[in-house]
Amino acid sequence: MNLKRYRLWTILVFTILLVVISSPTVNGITPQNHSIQIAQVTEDPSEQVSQATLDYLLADVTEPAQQPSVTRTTIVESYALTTWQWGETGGQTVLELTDENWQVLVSGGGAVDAATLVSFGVPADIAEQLMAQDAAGD
Amino acid sequence: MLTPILRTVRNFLIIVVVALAVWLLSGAISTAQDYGIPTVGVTWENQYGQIPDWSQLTFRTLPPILSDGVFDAPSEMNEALNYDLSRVWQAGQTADTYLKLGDFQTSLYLQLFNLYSVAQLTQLDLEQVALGALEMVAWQSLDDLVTAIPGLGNFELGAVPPIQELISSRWPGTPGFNPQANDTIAELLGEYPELGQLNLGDLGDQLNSFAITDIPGLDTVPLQNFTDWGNSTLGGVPGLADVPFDQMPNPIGSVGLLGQVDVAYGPAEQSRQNTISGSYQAGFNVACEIDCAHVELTASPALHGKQWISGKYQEVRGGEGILGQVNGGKEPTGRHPYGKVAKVVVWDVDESPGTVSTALFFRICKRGIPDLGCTPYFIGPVPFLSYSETTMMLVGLLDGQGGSSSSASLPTEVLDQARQLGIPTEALPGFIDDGFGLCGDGPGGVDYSALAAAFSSIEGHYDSVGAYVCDGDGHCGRGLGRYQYMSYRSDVRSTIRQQSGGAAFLAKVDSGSAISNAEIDRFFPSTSQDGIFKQDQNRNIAQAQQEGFSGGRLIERVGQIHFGGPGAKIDGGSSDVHGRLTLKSYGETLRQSYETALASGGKRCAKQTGGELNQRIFQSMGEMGRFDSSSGPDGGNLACAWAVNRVLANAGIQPVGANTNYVPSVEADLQAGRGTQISQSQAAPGDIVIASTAGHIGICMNQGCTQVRSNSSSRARFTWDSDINFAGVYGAGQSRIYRLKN
Repeated sequence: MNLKRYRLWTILVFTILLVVISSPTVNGITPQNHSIQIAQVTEDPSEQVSQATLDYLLADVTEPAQQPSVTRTTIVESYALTTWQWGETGGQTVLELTDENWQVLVSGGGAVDAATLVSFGVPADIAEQLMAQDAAGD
Repeated sequence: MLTPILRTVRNFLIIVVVALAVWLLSGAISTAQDYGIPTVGVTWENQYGQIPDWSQLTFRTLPPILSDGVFDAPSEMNEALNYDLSRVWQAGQTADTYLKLGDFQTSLYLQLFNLYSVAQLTQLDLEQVALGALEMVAWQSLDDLVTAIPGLGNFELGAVPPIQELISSRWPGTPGFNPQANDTIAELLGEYPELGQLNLGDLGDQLNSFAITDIPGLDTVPLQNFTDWGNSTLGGVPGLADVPFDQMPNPIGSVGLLGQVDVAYGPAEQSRQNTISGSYQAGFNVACEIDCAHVELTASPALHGKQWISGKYQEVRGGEGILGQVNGGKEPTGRHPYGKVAKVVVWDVDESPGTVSTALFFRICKRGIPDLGCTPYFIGPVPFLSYSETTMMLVGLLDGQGGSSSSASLPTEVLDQARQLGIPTEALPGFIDDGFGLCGDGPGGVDYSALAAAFSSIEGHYDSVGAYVCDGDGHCGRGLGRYQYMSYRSDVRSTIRQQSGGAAFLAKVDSGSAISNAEIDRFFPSTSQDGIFKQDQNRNIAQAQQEGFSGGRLIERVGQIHFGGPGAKIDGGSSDVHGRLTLKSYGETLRQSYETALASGGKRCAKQTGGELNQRIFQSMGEMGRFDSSSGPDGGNLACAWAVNRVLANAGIQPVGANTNYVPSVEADLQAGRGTQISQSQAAPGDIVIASTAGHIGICMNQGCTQVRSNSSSRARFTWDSDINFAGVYGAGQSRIYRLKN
């Protein structure tokens, strides 16, 4: 086999391999994969934190014109910071894991800072980590 | 036969003569009437001079601009306006092609014209003018037109061919939609509100197949009734470019001093201190250090030795508001002998023949809401009059305003014309509404609250609906609300239009259909009624004072004017269609009720106004407009508290909150002493509103706080105007209102 033919064969083989490997991505998530992800959701701390945030936001609200959605979650040890959008408004909620439940420490429109977190009982080093990771998650 | 010597002499003479002719002609071109500016001779203070003949000058006949230029408006500015404020002009264009109505919003007040009056001034037959020639038609929706033109909704579709064509050809159609020619526009809009969004511009070139007169009433309403009227070029209003300047709503005149051109100095001159040139921002005594080409004046003692520096060589600070930063915030030095319309600049100064040319410079303005201010005067030069030594040039008044005779308040001519057209003062640019409802005293010490209560005892309540009636001028409609303001008034219509579904409601009112009290509550809220009432009564009181009334008789006369209009005969016996009261008895009844209301504590609302801090906050909101919040937390997504604190900072107030970007922190600070929680009935513009969940924060915009402005996350801009509960985003929970104490 001369060099030219060897190169063509190599390209062909790699192309076939590439198609096989990428086909789940290209064609979308398979039903099998999807069901696996759902199974993982219930164990996902991020989902738990998001759900706890939404539950809190809607706890005393009747017939809201729009529904909130959590757009970002950051968890450091037993503390979490979520960012949400609600219609034209946006805000952040701080949570703490207590007795395996996420409890809201403070929630409101706008943006928290490390000092705010500390004032609501978050240890300073964790507050800094939460802020840093939240900023990195933008 | 000429000898060679003679031939040489002859040729030399021919060359000399030709050169002489060219020199003389060029001299004539560069002096006095270079560009054919018509002038008229005047003798003031025993001085004879030539001044512009404004009866012969129009925007079209001004000489073409000499330089190219461009203004690229920032995208966020255009988004706030919903149209592109950018401008491009090229040397050779005439002013009507690159200047816009909005540029003269607070000088000539062109927006007070209607097409009919322009046509009368210019002998234009509007039946022969294509609808497409009215530039602003292209961006009017059907809702816009119905709002702008009272009574249009009553016309059958077949009677308004452009709208019939628009609906039949551009409406994508819904099952069962089959408009008939005898359906009225109001009926169609009521049944299919989406039709109101159709835009006449969608007809494209078809607009030129219709005449202006094919839309009834289009020619009789003031231009300012139309949406974004300020964005139309002057040439985009048929005939306007041919209206002489002395026929404008606020006409240009020539007043002040004539100064004799004593000596013309070239740019080699330096260090000149005794000047009368400058700008509104820098004053009109701006010194020049280098390149001080100028004209030295004489004649009157006040002008002797004064220097008018050439703006070709010296620039000074100019502009106002956000637009004031354009062109580096600079404009050529000069004066304003004809007011704010244009700046007169000494341009070329030639020492050897002793001649000087002047030029006009214009500016771009966007006043009203949002008020972006004006650029410096940087659009020019447009050649104007030229002078030679010993001739007289107008420098205007030596009044500290560069020769402008206008004051800070609205010109009397404008107020009169606006009144004739039924345009409320508050709808005019330059008017500043204090936004503080009925509290406080009006002119002559009249108590607004007591006066309002007195009118209410005669007219009705905030949700009252009057009978459908027509006046002698063919205006038909209903009295609406506490003061029974007629639905065809432009201020009433403008207010109602701002409400969601307002255009359809207006069409319904115009049609004579029954209106419920609930609809009045929704579309013409009490705060809007009170706002109109206060300004209306200011005018009425001023008229009564001018007629010599005071005390109790002043109130009687105010009532008569309210009842019968500005032309109501003093103590007249005429009545309205109901025949219940005459002018005289209406006034007497009003006075009696007013005195009763006063006795029961008419000034009761005096303590409910927000006070000085509220006023500063509200004023700050006006200054900042719908500002960009993308530099706030999370690119503007989490910027509600940040934006409110920016408004406070601009008002010179300390930020609120240990964390000024977080609503719970801001509210904690308010509860800890920075503020006082108040009820909605106490709320005034400038109070702070926090959502029931502490999820959002905004600022009250009116008395009673039915309107709140706050940050919009999706637009990253302080631009969301909602009700007090933020449009129900947080459900039925009631927002909390705080008044800042310090």
